[in-house]
Order: sequence, then structure tokens, then C-alpha cells
Amino acid sequence: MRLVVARCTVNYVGRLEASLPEATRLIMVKNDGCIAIHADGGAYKPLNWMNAPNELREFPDRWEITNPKNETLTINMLEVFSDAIHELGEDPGLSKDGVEAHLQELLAADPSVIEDGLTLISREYPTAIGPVDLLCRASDGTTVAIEVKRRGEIDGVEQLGRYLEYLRADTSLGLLRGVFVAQSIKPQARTLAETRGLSWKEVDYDELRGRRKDDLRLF
Amino acid sequence: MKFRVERAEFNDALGDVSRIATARTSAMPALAGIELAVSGETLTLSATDKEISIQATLSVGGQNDGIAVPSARILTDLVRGLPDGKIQVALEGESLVVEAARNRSSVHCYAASDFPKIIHASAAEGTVSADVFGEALRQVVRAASADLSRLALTGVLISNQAEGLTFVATDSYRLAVRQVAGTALAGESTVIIPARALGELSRLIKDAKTITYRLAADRATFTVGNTTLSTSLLAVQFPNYKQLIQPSYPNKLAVNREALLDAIRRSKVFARDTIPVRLTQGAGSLRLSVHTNDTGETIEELDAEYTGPEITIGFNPDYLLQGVEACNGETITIESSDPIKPAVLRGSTNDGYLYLVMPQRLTS
Repeated sequence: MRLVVARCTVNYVGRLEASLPEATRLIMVKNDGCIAIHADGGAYKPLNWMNAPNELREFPDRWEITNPKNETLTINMLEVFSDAIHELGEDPGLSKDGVEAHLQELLAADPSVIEDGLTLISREYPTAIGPVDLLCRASDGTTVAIEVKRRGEIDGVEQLGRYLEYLRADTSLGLLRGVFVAQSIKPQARTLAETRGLSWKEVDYDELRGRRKDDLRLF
Repeated sequence: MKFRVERAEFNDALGDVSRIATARTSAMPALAGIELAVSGETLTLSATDKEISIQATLSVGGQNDGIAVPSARILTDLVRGLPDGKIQVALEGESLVVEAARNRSSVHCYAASDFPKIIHASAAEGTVSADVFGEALRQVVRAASADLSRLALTGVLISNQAEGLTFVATDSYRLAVRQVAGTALAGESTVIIPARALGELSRLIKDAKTITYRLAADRATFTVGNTTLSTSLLAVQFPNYKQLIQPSYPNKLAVNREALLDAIRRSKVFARDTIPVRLTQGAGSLRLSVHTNDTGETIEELDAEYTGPEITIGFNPDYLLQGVEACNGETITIESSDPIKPAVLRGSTNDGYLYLVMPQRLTS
């Protein structure tokens, strides 16, 4: 990752023409060739960017970046304050909230906590719209898709609904139903789940993670 | 206040002391600070979280006596990053100015009057071998609980008993007991010291030969070299642990310690939290196995000597590993009676240590 902080102007010529007037900005040149120009504000969206593959040519006073679509980004470097390269290594990807990921892990170890007779088919079952937290088999042979959240809110129910809609296209899974699982589930989320024919279950994280009431203790 | 000091010595002292400073207590912001007090040629560094305090003294080139309380974290990070050589430190107004080589940094200070007075135990002084005390702490502190809702379990019971000086800790899932024959502490004959304080004391011991201590009814103070740790004691009833240790057990397994450690570490790839490692003990062998629904399973056989009927016991892998690590000797013995009753681990050196660990229930 190369990070350049510079006073610069930027011109983009391609599908449209755009320019950025003179100001101090952060220019990120990522290892895969992506380039992003950031102002000192806004969480994630750059002012201007070019996705890889790109060709970057550096001149003493400017950078010219072109891509195969013949789009060109020209950064006129008026003053460079910092130019640093950092090896970031391979990124492990976005990790879920610690409690939520652990909750999923614990439920995968013993899905019968959610429903008697439930056995695990797969954890993080892959679909084109994202992985289903747990895919299980019920004692009657039904396939059960389970969405696990720390806090059960409406968006989690909707997410499970989308997964089920997608999974139903795969006839090899047979009869399919969904269970929404969380430490606590808001009344609106329960109502929405029931309206959509989904079950819901609240689970006790502390109990699951080894503080079970029937844990063997010395005293 | 003004003094000159070698960066390396200052850095080491800050490392020892600043760990105890805490930024968690918003009611007393000065607890995030480290008190620097110069008197003549001596600098005293102090930090406290009100329960535990650590003080270290250093010989410095004192130029002006005085006191300053800068942020412990900022000062420690700053000094750690400075080049070796002399550092000049001075209080200028409300800031501590640190000069080294061509760096000049200024750290805002807390009001010195906001920093609490450090209190040491008021009792007769005794000394104990740092090797003996440090090893006992290494073996026992690990079994103490961090759960403040069971306060008594967050401490280590240290008492003079007929068998010698006895250290005990338990979190209710395991119990560690170390008896040091022929040793007794002066002062209070029974104290419960917060395990957190003893963990800090272990770090201070390094290559020291002796520890000087004072045990009062409400406080303990330990001095290692130029560093002194004081802690309030826990005024709680320690559980009656003796009844948990049986005089003999019907099943006894003896296995190579290193081989067992390696096998447990490998099994931990699969075992965690609620997934136990299963120890199946039979004639001439020990089998460790872990089965998980989602990640897979592992099975490993070890040579072992065993007397008793074949038995399978499940253990929390971390608790088992910590117990084996704490036992000394080439061979470990595991004595048991039942898959749901505690098992006892001992090392072959017979150093007076035992580790009692509760099994986990096994499901089919």
C-alpha cells in the first residue's frame, strides 16, 4: 500500500469529465493497482478512484493513470508532504462481531440447543448472496437455514428471508424452513418472523459458552 | 523537579511500574498517571489502581527535588521510543519536559495532589527465596478466577501449615495447591492475596534471589530489588478445598509430560470451550480425541502406564493444558475415580504440587 499526502489537482476524462481543484489530499495506491483519492472527511467514499487494472506513469509534476477503457486520471502534484509504502500482507477479511461469531460457533457445535434433533450440515453455507450462518437437518429430514445474530432485529429476519428465497431454487435441499436465532429478539422482529413463516429462538450466550447450569464444578 | 537518567534504566522502571496505572477510573483521572518524585539523587516512580500499587526507585542525577504526575502510557511509550543515552526530565509549569538527543517532548501532568498516597503493609519484615516463591506463584496463580462476582476465588490463599507454606487457588473448575516444605512466612499466618497482584509480582521477580515481604492483616507488601508492590488483601472466606482431595484414587495413569503437552496442544486445534478433549485410559495407552460437528476430529495415542478399568474422561482442553504445564518432572500422573469426579494431576518431581481438575460432561 502506497500512501501519498499531497497538495494536488485532479482531472478525470472518461465516461464524463470531472476535476478536483487544488487541495491537500490522500492518494492511496493499493497493491492490486486500485487508486483512490481521499479528502479529510467521509468514512469510505473517495473523491475519485480508478479500479484495477491500471497503468500508472509518474512524471516529476504529475501522475497519469489509464485503464483499458481509455479512462484517464491525471493528478497534478503541486507539493508532496508524505510518500510512504507499507506492506500490509494478506487481509483476513471482515470478521464478525466477536460475540456473534462465537455464538455461531457454539451453536454449530450443538445445534440441538436451537431445536431438538437438529444436526449440522454446514456452517457458513455459501450462496451467491452471502453465507448462511448454519444449515442444519431437522429430525424429520427438513433442511433448516439458521441466521444467528447477537441482537435480533428486523433486518436479520429479512436477511434470513432472502437466504431462504435463494436456497429454495436448489431443489436438492428438499423441504426448507428458517429459524432466526439471537440472544434477544425484539417484538417487531418476532412478529415479522412469524408473519413470514419463520421460527425464532432466543439463546443464552453465557450458558452456551461453558457456563452451563449443569456444568461440573468442584463446589 | 529536574533530573538526568539513563534511558534504558528509566525505561525498565517505567515498564515495571506503569502497568498498574489505569485509565478505567474516570472518577480519579490521576490513576492513569505515574508519580515521579525526586529527592536528592533518588527518583521514585509510583503507580496505583488503589488496590495494587507498584513503586520503583532509581539513582538519578537529581538537580531539583519535586513531584510530577504525567500520563503513564504517554511517558512509557515516549521513553521506549527514545535512543539510548542520557535523558533530561524536568517539570516546567504543568508539563513534564523530556529531552533526549535532538528530541524535546512535553507531557501534560495531572495535579500531584490528586495522586493517592501509596500505603505499604505495616508489619515485621521477612525474606523468602525468589525462586521458591516465584515457582509456587507460576504453578498456582493460573487456577484463580477472574470473575469478580466470586471474589474469594480471585485470590490466592497463602498460609503456614504443618506441611509447610501452602499456596492455593481455585476458580471452581480446577484447584491448584503447592506446598513448600520447611518454609513459613512471618506475620499473618493466613492471607488471601488478589491473584492479579501476585501475577504482577511474578513479572517483577526476573532474576532476583530474594523477596522481602511484610504481611499485615489488611495489606501485603513485597519488595524485589528496587521495586515494591503493595496490595490490599481479600477479606473473604476461602472455600474449604481440603475436602476435595481424596487420599487415594482407584485409577492411576502415568504418561510422559512433554508428549502429553504436545498431544493436548494438537487436540486444541479442534477442542475449545464447550468441546472437551476426551482422555481414554486403558492398559498401556492413553488416547486423546476430540470430535466436533463442524470442523472434524482428531485422535492421538500415547504410551502410558495405567492401572484401573478402561475409562473415558472429558476435560476442558485449556484447563488440562495449564495443569500439565504447571506440573514439574518427566512424567505426569493423572489419578481419577469417575468421569464426573475431579481428577488429580501431579508431576514426578514430587515438589508438593497438585492440580485438581473437574471433568466436562460427555455426550454421546
